[in-house]
Parts: sequence; C-alpha cells; structure tokens
Amino acid sequence: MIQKKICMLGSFAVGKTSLVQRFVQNIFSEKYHTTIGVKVDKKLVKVGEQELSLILWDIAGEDGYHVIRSSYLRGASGYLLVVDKTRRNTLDVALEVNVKAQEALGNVPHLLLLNKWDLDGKWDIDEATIGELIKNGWDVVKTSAKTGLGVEEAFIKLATRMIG
Amino acid sequence: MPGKVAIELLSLLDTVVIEQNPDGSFKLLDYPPDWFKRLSIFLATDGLSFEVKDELSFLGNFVIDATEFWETAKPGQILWSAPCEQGNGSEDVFQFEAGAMLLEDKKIIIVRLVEHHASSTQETLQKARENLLAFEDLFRNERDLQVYKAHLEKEVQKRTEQLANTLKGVKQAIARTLEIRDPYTAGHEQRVAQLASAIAKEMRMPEDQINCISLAAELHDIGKIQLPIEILSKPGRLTDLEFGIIKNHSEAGYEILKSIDFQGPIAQIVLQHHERINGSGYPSGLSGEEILVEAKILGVADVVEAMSSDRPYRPALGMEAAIAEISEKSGVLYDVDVANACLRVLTQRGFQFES
Repeated sequence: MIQKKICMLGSFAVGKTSLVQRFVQNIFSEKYHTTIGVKVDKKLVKVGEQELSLILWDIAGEDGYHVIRSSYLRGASGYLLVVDKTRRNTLDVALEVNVKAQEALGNVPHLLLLNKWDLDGKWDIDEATIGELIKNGWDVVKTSAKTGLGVEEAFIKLATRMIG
Repeated sequence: MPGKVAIELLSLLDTVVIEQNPDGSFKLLDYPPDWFKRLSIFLATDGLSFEVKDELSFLGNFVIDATEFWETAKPGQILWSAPCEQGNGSEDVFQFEAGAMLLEDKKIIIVRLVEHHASSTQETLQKARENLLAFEDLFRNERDLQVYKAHLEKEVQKRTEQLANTLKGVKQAIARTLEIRDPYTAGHEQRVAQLASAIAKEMRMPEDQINCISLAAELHDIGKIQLPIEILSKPGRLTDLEFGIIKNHSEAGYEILKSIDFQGPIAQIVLQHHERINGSGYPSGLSGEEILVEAKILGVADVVEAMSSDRPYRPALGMEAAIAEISEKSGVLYDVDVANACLRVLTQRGFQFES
C-alpha cells in the first residue's frame, strides 16, 4: 500500500492536533493541550480506487520561542497549514511557515485551513482577507475540528492532489 | 561489543540500544523492553536484527539526522530528537525520544520513554502558551478598542464637518438676507471677519478664540434684520432718532443669538462690538476691561472696513483715513494692544480684504 506523509503546520493553539484527532478518531476535546515535539498518527483512506496510508505528522506549533525543525518536514508529500480564524496573527505565522516548507519540500500540494470556523462572532480574519488569499492562489478550506466541518474534505483533497 | 556495562545499565533503565552495522543495517544490543515491542516501530526480522522503517516513520527520519551527526561527532556528544508521541493502532500511546552517539567508534542509537521529563516540559510549555493566549486576548481587546475609538473619532469628525457646513450655510443665508435689505453692506461681515481674524492672529490668540472672533464678526450685524429698510438704505445723513434706532442692532443681535449654544461668547461679542474703552460706546457704555477683548477686536475691524467702503450717505473714506482713525484714537476709543496689532496687520503684514 502506498504511504504518504502529511505535515500539520502552523502557529500554536490553532487546532492542528484537534483536526488530526477529528480525522483519525472522530473525537474532539475543548481542552487545549499543547503538543511538544511531534505526534505521529496513521489513517487509511481510499481515494477513488486507490488505498492510501496517510502518515500524519502533527508538529508542535510555532511561537516566538520555538520554531519547527525542518528535518520533520523531510519526506512529506503534502502539508496542511492551519490558521485560527479568531487570531489574525496565526495567518501571518502560517504564511511564514509556508516559506520554510516550500524551501524544504518544494512546491508539494498544500492547503490553508481556516480552523475554528464554528466560533461565530469572534472572527479576526475578514472576508476581504480570505478573498485576497484565494485571489493569490491559495486553496482555502473552512474547517472546524469541533463540528467536523471541512475536516475529511481537507485531508482527502490533499491526498487526492498528492497522488494526482 | 561496545560498553557492555553501559548497555546493560541502559537496558535496566527501559532504554533500547541499537547499533548500526557496517553494512548500514541495525541490530538491538539487548532484548528490547516491553513498551518498545508493543510500539512495533521496527520491523523485527530475527532475533536482535531488524530493519528501520522508511523515513516517513519518526525513527527512520531520525536515522537520517543521526547518519549526518556520526560524520562529525566527537566522543561524549549526543544528538537528541524532540519527543515523539506515537500509538500502535490500539489503546497504547507512547512518548519517546531518540539519541545518537558514538560509543567506542560504534554508531549507536538509544531510544527511551520520556513520560516523566516530557510531562514537566509539557506543563511548562502549556503554561507559557496559555499565558501567550491570554496576552493575545488582551492585545486583541485593546486593538478592538483602538479600532472602535478610531471609528468614533472619524464619525465625530464627519459630524463636525456636517455641522460646520450647516453653520456655513446658515451664515450665508443670514448674509444674503442682510444684503437683500442693505445692498451697500454686501460682503461687510465677511471682510470684517477677515480683518478681525488677522488681528487676533497677530495678537497670538489661540485657534479656538480666533474662530470665535471670526464667527462673531460674520454674525455681528444680524440685529440689523429688524431695522426699517428705509433707514438702512437712506442716502443722506441719519437723524439722531434714526441713529438711535440703528444703535438697537447690537442688542437685537444679542437677543437673536443668546440662546444658541456656540463655542465661545458669540452673543456677548456681538452685543459689545460698538462699546469703546472710554465708555463712549453703546449700548451699555462699558469701558476698559469691562469689554471683551474679542469685542474690542471686532469693533476695530468693523470701523476699518466701514471707513474703507462706500456707504449710501458717503463714498469710501479710504484705508489711509481708517489707519489714521485707529492710530489717533488708540488708547481713547480703541484698546492700545488691539489698535497696534491692527496697524501692524494693515501696514506691515500686507493685509488686503478678499472679495
């Protein structure tokens, strides 16, 4: 069976671990539990007729003191950049991390996930900014690890591109 | 076999010790602890030999870093991975870390559970990040407040401009009304406002006070609206009775303006603009400091403009005559400071009435 590595990248507390938990185990916890180092999970998926084993590397989020080790990106066939829609600065971090990922991996498939979409009224990234991202070629997926919105769609969309 | 005692000790500490063979394959140097077997991150072949999974696995990825490290490593140096949390597909989840070292020239990798010290690191990082999130919240609230404040300031500015435009419209309407009744004084209020503002600036008055004087000047003859048109446009000299009626315009203007909440004593200035410092003016015969400085300025500007313009009963007397009037009556009718400032404006600053 084909194995493909996917990295979860972004600032801290944007919901990378929650998205993986929702995708792999279909569970969600409100409690924030920071990741140290990396969490490796596996999920078997079927894309069309193709069975795939996705190796999910949930990498500790970036903050002012801790940056992602580029060796963790090694061998990844794609990555998901996760942004917390209620924190504008997490978009800036995601865009910085993207530069690092592109340097390490080249232009492999990747998506920008606007997570925590369920938090109505607390949005810190406006529609104009999202429109600008899409205009600049970003593939944006609205997700909520809490409700499951867009989660399966995002992983499958990325997997499809990785084998395409 | 490298450091047999050390390896036995590591085994006792639940640590896995792996050696890379010269051909690049790997072998365990002792039977692995139970957790390692349950994690099954290696594909055991037979006995203590096994293959490292590809680079997609955490340990496979670390072997690449270790290989680079061994090239330049010195005895005693260790390359540690970050902690990795990984499950085995069932309930078991383990957090472990890997280290690479050279031991008696052998390429060694050790793998150990890090539950204890990782949990304290995790706790510290968790607290730090919770604090960062709280700080971000505070910062966001402050930023939202600033955005709201900027919005309010913009709104106030917009409304102020609307209000200023409304006031300008009202002043123009009043001026037009007065001009229709008394065409000879068309533009008089605006010209007086120009000179009064210039005098106030010359006296280094604050902006608010200058604006107040300018507005009072633009409205100072509003009381004439109640005077008979025959008197206003009479071509000859006025009788004492007619002049007495004309004198009522200061109080009439005050009555019209007194209930309006202006920024500054506009109605009072209008009331006092014909008062003179020796008490010879009207309507109240005020003198010296009893008269507002704004009214003193307006009074001087009014005289200069009136003397330099045509009137129904006489042609313009000219600017020279106006300058002579202010100069001669300075300290008698007109405040010395105001008169001096006016003379400087007219003779040194090149002041010209704008049409």
